[in-house]
Amino acid sequence: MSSAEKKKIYLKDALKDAAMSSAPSFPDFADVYRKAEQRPRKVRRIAFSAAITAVAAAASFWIGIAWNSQTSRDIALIDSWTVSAAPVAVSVSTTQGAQNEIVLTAYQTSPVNLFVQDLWESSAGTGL
Amino acid sequence: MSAEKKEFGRLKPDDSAATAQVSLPAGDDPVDLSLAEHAAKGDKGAFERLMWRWWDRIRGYCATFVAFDPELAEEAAQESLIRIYKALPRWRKESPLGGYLYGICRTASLDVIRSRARHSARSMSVEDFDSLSLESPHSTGEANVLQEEANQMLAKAMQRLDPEDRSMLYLHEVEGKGLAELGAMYNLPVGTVKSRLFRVRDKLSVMLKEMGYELR
Repeated sequence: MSSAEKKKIYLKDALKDAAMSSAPSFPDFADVYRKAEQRPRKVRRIAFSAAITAVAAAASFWIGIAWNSQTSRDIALIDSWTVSAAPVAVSVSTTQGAQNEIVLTAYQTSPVNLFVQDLWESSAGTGL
Repeated sequence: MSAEKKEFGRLKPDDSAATAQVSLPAGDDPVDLSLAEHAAKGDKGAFERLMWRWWDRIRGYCATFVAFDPELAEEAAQESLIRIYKALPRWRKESPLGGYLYGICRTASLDVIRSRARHSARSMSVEDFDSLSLESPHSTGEANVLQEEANQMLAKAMQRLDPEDRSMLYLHEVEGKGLAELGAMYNLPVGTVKSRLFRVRDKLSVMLKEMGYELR
């Protein structure tokens, strides 16, 4: 081969040589059949897991909705707060219209009185 | 891979048709069509015979697509066979078999490349080319060694091309696919295929020229 020739690359032959020398020699049909049969099982497993997850998510969503609607019926609003010497009375009404009065037999600065006062202020708009 | 291994791969003893693999026209060979029909009905023997007839084309295409990385080429070829086996029952006889098979190989090879982040076919630097040039065994004076070196240079240059461009160039140059056939296969207008092939070849030529080779 002359020095002029040795620097030439014949695309077709070189491409074919490069491809064939790096490509696998034999197909593995046993592996083909094994993997082809495994894949549907894998897909079914993934689909089953996805279905379980979806059912669990839907169930927890509806349980949450039910829970919220259940508790909302019992919302109580402290709609008044009066401070007197002692005893202290708190009037409580619910959304269903029931009126209750809690009488706190404690002094104005006692911890339980302050707690009820905090509760009233924080729940004035949203309920307990 | 040794030459004798390649030869053995081509000449599967129980398949006389394997000797004519490369010269067969793609897609419309009546034997291929008949085998594909039987394979689509679950005949494993027909599937294996069909794949032996197509084996050189499949492995050559996959190897080119993954930039001649032997490990990826094996993975891509094997993945292609699995997908072909599963997809043949859905093959419509009015569509060319060759285009169908190459399409499956193309997506399989692309998925293999995507799933292997470590593969960096397009990240080779100019320094890598220089180091390859320094390793040149010019002093041996053996023609086959020089040819081997030239092939290595081509392979390295090919690695810098887009996988789709590499595979298109391979189909055009080695498998002799025409512009219209490539256009149908890659879903591109003929003019786009033509200009793309020209650009790819030009790019390859420039890269090889920098490495001291002339592309013919």
